[in-house]
Amino acid sequence: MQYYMSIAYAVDLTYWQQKGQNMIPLFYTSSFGEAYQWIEQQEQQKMDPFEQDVKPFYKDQWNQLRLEAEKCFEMLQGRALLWSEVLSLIRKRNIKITEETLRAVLQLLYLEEKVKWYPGVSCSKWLQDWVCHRCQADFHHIRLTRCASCGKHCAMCEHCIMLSRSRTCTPFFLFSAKKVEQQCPVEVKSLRLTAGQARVSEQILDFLQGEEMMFLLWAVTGAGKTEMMVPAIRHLLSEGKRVCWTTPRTDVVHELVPRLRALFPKENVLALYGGSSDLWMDGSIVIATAHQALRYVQVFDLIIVDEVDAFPLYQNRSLEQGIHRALSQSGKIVLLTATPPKEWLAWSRSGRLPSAILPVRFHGYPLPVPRLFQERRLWEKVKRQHPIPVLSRFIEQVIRKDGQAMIFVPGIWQVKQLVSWLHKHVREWHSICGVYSQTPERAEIIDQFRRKELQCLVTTTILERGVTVPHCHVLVMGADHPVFDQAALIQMAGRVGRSKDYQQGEVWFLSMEKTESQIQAKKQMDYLNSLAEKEGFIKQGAYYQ
Amino acid sequence: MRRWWLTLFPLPKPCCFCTTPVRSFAFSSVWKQMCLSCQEQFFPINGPVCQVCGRPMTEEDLSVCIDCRQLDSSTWVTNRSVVLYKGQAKKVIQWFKYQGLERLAIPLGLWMAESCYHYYRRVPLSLITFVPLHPNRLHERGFNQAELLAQVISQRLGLPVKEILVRERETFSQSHRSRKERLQALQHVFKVSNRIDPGWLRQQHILIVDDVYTTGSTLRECARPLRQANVRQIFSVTFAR
Repeated sequence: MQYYMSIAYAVDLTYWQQKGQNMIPLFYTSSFGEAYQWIEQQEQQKMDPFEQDVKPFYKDQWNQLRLEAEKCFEMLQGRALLWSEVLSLIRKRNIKITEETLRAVLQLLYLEEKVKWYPGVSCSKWLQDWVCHRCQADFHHIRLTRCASCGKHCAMCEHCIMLSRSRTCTPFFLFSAKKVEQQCPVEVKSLRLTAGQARVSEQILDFLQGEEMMFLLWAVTGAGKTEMMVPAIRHLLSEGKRVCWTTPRTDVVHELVPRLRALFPKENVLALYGGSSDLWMDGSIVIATAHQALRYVQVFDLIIVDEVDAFPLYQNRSLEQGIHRALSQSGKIVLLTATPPKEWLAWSRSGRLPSAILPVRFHGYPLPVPRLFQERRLWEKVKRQHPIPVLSRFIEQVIRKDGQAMIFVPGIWQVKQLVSWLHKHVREWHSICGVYSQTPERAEIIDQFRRKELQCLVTTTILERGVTVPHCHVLVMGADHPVFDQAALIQMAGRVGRSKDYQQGEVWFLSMEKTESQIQAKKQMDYLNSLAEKEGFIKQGAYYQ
Repeated sequence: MRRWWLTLFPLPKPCCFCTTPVRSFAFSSVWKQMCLSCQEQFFPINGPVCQVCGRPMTEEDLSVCIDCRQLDSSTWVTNRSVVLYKGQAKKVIQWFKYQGLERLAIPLGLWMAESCYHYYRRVPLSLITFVPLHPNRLHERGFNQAELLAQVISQRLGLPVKEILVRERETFSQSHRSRKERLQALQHVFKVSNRIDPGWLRQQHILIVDDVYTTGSTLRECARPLRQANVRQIFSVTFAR
């Protein structure tokens, strides 16, 4: 005897009749989760009896439904969606299908075992067992509320609510992915890799052939990580496989999409982030934020995780599991970062995590090494608008070298204080702007800064990654603040000297005290530079082949 | 190590609308439990307001705004709102109503309760009700945002909540309509529920709760059946306008 759930009873009736099997309806419930729990736990609770008069499908109706189901499965395969998301996908693709037919279609797919389903959130007797099936969040993020949809108390997950509401009474569908194995030539714009890049990209191609599942690529900021991945992506695409490039930040998605579209002119490159217009479409290369990866299941053969160590991805169990779920059974993960956490380096040294290191930038110039300065009562001076000689010296040298200043501060309030300090003390600059996460015209201001219309940008850690401004100088104010850990400091320093033509950029750390993270950051950059020198990359003539 | 440290010395509570930790007392006003950047993007309505619809006015203006003066004074409903419907308020309403982040009902409701206390201190309110949703819409959304707000307000003010009104027919979303269409679309949509005793209702001073006030047509339509039932006084409060 087997138990099944049904969201369209007529389908079951027809399906099992055709198979010649007996079937009895047990009970009826308004909540999907309740039915699921009943089957899981086999507790013979009392339920409402099933009292509906349902007739099986006629033959031509049934054939119609089968056709419909095939069409829908084609679109839905490899996705992990809630009911509401299935509806939005269908609407976005302009499929004329009523909700009732869709329900029948999904039921048929379920009976044919093409889709697995769970309640959005399952909440059993024990609090520890509560889980959101979409994002794997535990009871800390699950809230019991009275639900008007099912008329019962029903749990919802607040962790992934920005994607859509996952609840006990709504089903969560996992559509299995179809295997498409076909050879197709892929057109790539020719690109010139440097010796270092070529070596690493060969290592990655070797890794794709091997047994291991994960690969760590530690490449310094501005090493050309995107270009290095191109041969690997091309290799997989030519085998008809799908690739996902995921990153924790929307800004990085915005920056990557045009570059990859230019590199793969014939391929359909999708950009997925909250509010993107590509949402629900299909493509062979998907560039998504880590949250969007939660909407896929076992479909990608290669997932490239960019900026792995950044918030909110690093040490976020739910997003990590989401990425693993999106990976196909023989799929591989490549982790890209400029600042790997300590334990990963330890794994890589002990051989548990295969890795490659690229200590030099694409143009072959060394990394800018930060200079550390200390200033007593720094923030008090900023607040009272007293002169700060080091800061003035920094600005002088930026003006002398015809650069742009990017000043990082630890918090939003310091942004405002520093902007007013600069307005008072720096006569030469007229366009100084502050940016933080909630600035409404954030993207516009960053664009202005890129176009050199702004001379100085004061910002928080939001811009530590993924921003490339050629003539940039960086000053980290209050580098001793706990938000600036070693990784953040290295990333911020990495904004400087990314262009081949402008190498005068400098990095200064200004703080009240010298902290371990500043010293370690400096040490790591020295180490990388020495490594590059040892390998013979920092020789401008010899570098380009 | 860090986890133990955080257990012993927990971070201050996060801001109601974002994750920034804010140092505040448990019973201080909602405004003080917000982080500075959220505060900056809310535009609370303080100072002189239109005596009818609660629109912020300058000192020199008359006591009733132009829009209200165009209406028949017998349909006026005294309304007060907490903030202007722009900036963070728009976002928060979006999260609460459309994304379904029901937890936000608590800070929003408490904030509205503070406003109620400020404006309606001298009014003998006896009952709180809310703008109803059509059953179909309610089923789709899973909750009635006005009801959640009303429940929080009632807890803070110590007044009962009762579902008095019902929606007779389904109307489509108001948010995509022009002013004129909105004013017409809702006519005679609401009525008093059959389960309510008219004699009891006649003695009540009612406060109607809604989330957003745009033209006020929803609230005026809600007040119409209540007026016909000879309710003593009708007031309303909305979060944003």
